[in-house]
Amino acid sequence: MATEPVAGDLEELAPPETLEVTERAHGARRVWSWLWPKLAALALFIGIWQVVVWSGWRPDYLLPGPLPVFQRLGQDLSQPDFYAGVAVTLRRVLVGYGIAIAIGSALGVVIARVPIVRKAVGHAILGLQSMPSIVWLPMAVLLFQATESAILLVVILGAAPAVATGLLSGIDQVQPLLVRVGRVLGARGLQLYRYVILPAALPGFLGGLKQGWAFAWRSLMAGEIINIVGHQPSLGQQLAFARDFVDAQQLYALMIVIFFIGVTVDLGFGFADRAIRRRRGLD
Amino acid sequence: MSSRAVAVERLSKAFPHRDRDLVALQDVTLEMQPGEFVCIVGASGSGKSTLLNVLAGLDTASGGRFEVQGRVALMFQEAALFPWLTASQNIELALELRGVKPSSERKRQAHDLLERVHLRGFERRRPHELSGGMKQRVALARALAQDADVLLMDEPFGSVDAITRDHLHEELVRLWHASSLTILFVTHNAREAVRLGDRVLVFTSRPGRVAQEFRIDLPRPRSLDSPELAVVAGRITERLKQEMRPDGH
Repeated sequence: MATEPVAGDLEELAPPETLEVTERAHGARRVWSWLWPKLAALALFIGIWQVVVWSGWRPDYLLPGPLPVFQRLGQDLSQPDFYAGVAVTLRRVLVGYGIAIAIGSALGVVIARVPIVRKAVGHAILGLQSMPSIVWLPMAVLLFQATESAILLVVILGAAPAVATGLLSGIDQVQPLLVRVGRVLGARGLQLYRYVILPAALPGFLGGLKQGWAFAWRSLMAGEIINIVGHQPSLGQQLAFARDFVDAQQLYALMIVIFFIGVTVDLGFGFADRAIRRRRGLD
Repeated sequence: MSSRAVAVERLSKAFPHRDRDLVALQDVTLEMQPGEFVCIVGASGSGKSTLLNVLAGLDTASGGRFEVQGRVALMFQEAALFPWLTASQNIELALELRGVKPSSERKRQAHDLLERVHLRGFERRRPHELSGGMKQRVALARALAQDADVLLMDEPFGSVDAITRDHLHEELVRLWHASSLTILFVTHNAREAVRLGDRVLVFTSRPGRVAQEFRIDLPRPRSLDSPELAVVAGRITERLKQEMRPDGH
């Protein structure tokens, strides 16, 4: 008797397929409508740059035009040395950021769980976040000299508080009702965190990860430019050398590369954020 | 005396509020036989939800004793599904926390449970893609997944439209008949209580106490629109109004 269909709300009468949204057909148009304002902004920027160069405000060897810079960038991209530099920089940021995520997450959970810890360091963590990470560098150099460890320390100190703060605010915003449901279903202690609180806190955590990345990337660049380590041709180090040798074309080419890496990662975070929101119906 | 599914004896609960205590429950006493369907009717703020929370172990009592035989499940007014999980995964999580293994078995059982609440084909939907009534069905399936002996329901159909609610009543009674579940159902709607319960308990407000008990002998299946049901519901509503009047007690 249980097999006859039951007429409930109107939606319940519709088979599941009819509710699927058919968006893919307009894929190309959507990409274009996403892309063209960015291309227009880029064209405008390059135009202004060229105009400033033509105005003769600064000599060519200090402020080259877009064309020679992009030519130089093309040359760079065909040289193995350049990629070795990118690899050094990316390895550092990934290691430092990874450690910062581990420390920041642990810190976030401990602050959320233990009231006395929250009272003790809750505000301090926020304060740390507003501390310019370059401020840590002299201390790091005292402790580790001009080594990679000093740079990593600065990256970790820059990024970990943001990750902790993001996770903490994510946990604080978890609906109490969901936690109660978890308890009714029999989840206790760590299970409650694993199955309910952490998944529910994911959007806030992702916000912290994104901000942590921004801090890690800035800290690393500051560290690499100021604290030259041995013979490793990192992006920041190449940038410092370009300044020292007044190689303006190389300097601007490197800045474009650094900007490009930052934008790419940011796009990745934006994509993940939208995917999570769409899955949860938050949009 | 036969073993009771639920036994509550002089249960009290007070919340500290500013400089004094707010008494939510005072000397609540009730008993339920296994397989019984009991409804509690009371105005909002009469401590009905507090009673269920205490019975479910989400809250502790300030005084008195209670005993619940077997496992307890609790359904809330909101479906409170986990929005990051699909309908099926919500139920699978309940099964996993109950210790059902392996995951293929959990999938199979979740599928069966969704079929029991008429949601076949909706396994992979996420909560935001379901209507209010469908969400409550998933929540019901999730409560059933706990394989509880006692099901506590806190105004579970309060936020769905009348037609959907009528269907949900039908399904709840059907599922109850097909099982040995003992159900304690809280509502502020006297008709709903008479439609569902073997007994209806009228709760007083502030502090919550059992003011009167009505035994409902109407034959099942019952219809929300039947005149007999309306008469009984009218008597309960009258008693409820008495309680809500300031000079009522």
